[in-house]
Amino acid sequence: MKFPQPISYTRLYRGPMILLLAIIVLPLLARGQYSYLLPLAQLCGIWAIVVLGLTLLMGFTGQVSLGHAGWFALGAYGAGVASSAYHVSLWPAMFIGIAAGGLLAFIAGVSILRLKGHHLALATLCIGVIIYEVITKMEITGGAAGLNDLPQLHFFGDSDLSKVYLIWFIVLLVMIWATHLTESPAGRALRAIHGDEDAAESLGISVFSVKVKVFVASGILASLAGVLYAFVYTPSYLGPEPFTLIFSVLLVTMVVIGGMGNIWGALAGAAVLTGMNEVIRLVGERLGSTQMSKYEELISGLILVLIMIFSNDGLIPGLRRIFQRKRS
Amino acid sequence: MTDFLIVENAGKHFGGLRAVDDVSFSLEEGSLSAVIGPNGAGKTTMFNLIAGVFPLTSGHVRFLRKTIRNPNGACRMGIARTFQNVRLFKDMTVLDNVLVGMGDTGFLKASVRLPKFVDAERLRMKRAYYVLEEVGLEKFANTRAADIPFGHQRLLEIARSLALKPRILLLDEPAAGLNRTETTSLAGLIRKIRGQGITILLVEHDMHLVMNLVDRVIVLDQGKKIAEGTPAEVRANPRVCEAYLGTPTC
Amino acid sequence: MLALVIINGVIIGSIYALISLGFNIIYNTTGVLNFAQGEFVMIGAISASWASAHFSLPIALLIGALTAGAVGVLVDVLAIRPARKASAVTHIIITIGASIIIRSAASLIWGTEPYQLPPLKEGSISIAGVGIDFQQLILIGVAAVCMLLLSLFFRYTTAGRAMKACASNSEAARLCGVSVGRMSAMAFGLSAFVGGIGGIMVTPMISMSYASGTSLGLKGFAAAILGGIGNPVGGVIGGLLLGVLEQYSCLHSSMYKDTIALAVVVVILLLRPRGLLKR
Repeated sequence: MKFPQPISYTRLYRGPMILLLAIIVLPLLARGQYSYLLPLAQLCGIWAIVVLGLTLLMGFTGQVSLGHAGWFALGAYGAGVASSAYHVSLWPAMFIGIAAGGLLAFIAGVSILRLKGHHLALATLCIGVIIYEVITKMEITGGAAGLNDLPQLHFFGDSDLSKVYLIWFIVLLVMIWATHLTESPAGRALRAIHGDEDAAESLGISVFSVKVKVFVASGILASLAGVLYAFVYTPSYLGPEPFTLIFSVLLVTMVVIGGMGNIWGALAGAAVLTGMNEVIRLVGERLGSTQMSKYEELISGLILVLIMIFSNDGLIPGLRRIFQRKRS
Repeated sequence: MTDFLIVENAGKHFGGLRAVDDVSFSLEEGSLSAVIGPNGAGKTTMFNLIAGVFPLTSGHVRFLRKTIRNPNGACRMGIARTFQNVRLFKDMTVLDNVLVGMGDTGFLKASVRLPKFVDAERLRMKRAYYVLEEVGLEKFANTRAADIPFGHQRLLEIARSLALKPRILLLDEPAAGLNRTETTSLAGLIRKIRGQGITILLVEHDMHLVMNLVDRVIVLDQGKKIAEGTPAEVRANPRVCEAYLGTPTC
Repeated sequence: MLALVIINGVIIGSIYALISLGFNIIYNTTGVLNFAQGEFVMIGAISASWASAHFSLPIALLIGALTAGAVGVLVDVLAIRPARKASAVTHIIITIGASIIIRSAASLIWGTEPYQLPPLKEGSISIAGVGIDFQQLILIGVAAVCMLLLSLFFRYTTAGRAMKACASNSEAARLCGVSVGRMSAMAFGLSAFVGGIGGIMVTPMISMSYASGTSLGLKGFAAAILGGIGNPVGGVIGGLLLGVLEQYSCLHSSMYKDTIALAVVVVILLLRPRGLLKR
């Protein structure tokens, strides 16, 4: 008699090992004229960290957040303000950034996670925008002008290549953590909550407390990404522009593209969106328009609407369904 | 009088509606009983009160002398329940559905994933497989719950509850939607579970199943208890016939 | 001081009330929470302003409102209709996407400079020791007239009642021969038209640029939630209340007055999701 077995360590780590290989090899290929891809890869990795957390929250547990740009911002600005206004040194400042995001995510989560469906989405939307507004108005954050000359986190030097390695090594660690979580009773609890909250409750799962845990985890991941954004990606200047409602919605789009309940989909979503942005930018450069950023926004909006129209549970499963239908 | 499950003057009002009105009964450990009554009698509400889904408006429900506060608490006390309209985790596998109730859902342990943890997982999966064997669903272990036939889905709900190793099992209309063969094997399963020492309380509409299966019957009508006794006693009770058929004889 | 807060609050609140009206029209007919509502206001204002350079003022105002209405219908037909079966959250994201598209399109068509319209009537009067421009009075008046006309429309015209039918039960409405698609387009068009009027009324006071619609839209949404989503009268009261709250918070710190609206939404969602007024 063959019993079902928990997934073996070898099978579990097969994916991450392939990812590790890709992380080591691919950036080395981006040389010469392709070296501009390196900062792009950095940003993609940073986004991937946020999207991983958001996938756990939305895809697995079924709780929608339209405000995750807020936690991203708190990480970046928490660390940034700590260092520029309070002259805290690098590592403590990073810790403060992550802690700020985590703590506020906890407070917000405990307050709003009793809401369901679109009420929850609206509450997260408002919180995300409130965080953005407060950041742009406060003095110590530099308001709309932002902060300059933040400390740089060094990793075997300062080159774009080493930054890619640093960021993606962290992405790998987060992937492994997420894989551990989803292939465990905790992961089942998340999916059970998504499936039927009352049934889950009757089976002994403390639904509210699990929701808060995964919400805070996703908040901490977003803040971590924010800290990396501030101290690794763009330490010379940190402004409020990336932390708008649009970014929150883009994050959700990345989750949707990746197929919602899929850890690897999170990476795919981040990659697809980074790629799309770059393609739009390149096309713009080719056309030589001065208003390229506005066209970029327009096209992003279009793509966002199209993806949502064609979604339902993600573009990739959607495409899979189309191909299955064609075959039969 | 027993200390096992005591329902004492239980009342539940929803606004003006008295879904359950001054109902009292008790269950002995190891017994197999049913709550019956016409539609709207308050049977499922009574169940929900025992399962801790909402608080009582009046009276008490106590299990082993303790008040039941919420579904989590009920589960911890050893009360397991199924739902009237099957509420499975549709996108999870049959095996995973059973595993949900088996605990150890901490984030920390899962994050580190030590070999000891994986061993515990292995044992859980083994036990879950045994539970599936008990209800006859082991072949479907890796099938998505939404993809198995309806009769099997009902069995899966029961398996899910059994995985909790409960002391008392509340079955809410377990035979609804099942054909004759399935109902017969359901009766066999219920007897087997009872044989393991688990106390069972059913809500059912299928009179044939109820009358041939249970020790005691409690009859509700419009929220009130109108009769209680063995199946034979209840069948001969004119008030019961009145409630169901409108005439004093059945 | 208090008189100033209340009067200014009512003035700016009338705009929020108008926006919340448009919001509720769409919600009541289609169940969609339209986050592009503010953009309708902006389109009305900017297109009217641009048109005023080429046409006489009354014609320009009409063009503005009609353009806004047309954009509304486009949003319904192109973005909402294809996804009618999707969840509420998907609809929200789609309308946010639509607002991005409208905004960037506006910046490409009309540039990033702010636009302004001349006031319909110059001068001001004094009430309770506070100076009020005629334009501001006109704004309140127009808002009130809009509310009146809309309530008459929904109660007494066939189209209006058909739209209400769609909201309560679209299946039943369809069976009665009501075309859900057409009602939806009408709702968006009407709501955008009203929003456009609001934009036109407010541009003499506040100049509008391509990005001005977003914060107005959020506040109109907040007003609607405050008064109870789906409740038009509630939305109006919510708008006025919000305006007064904002002006009041200005006394303490003018920096965060924009966050008041959103904080109010969160509080309402947590404490009284149905809004302050019973349906």
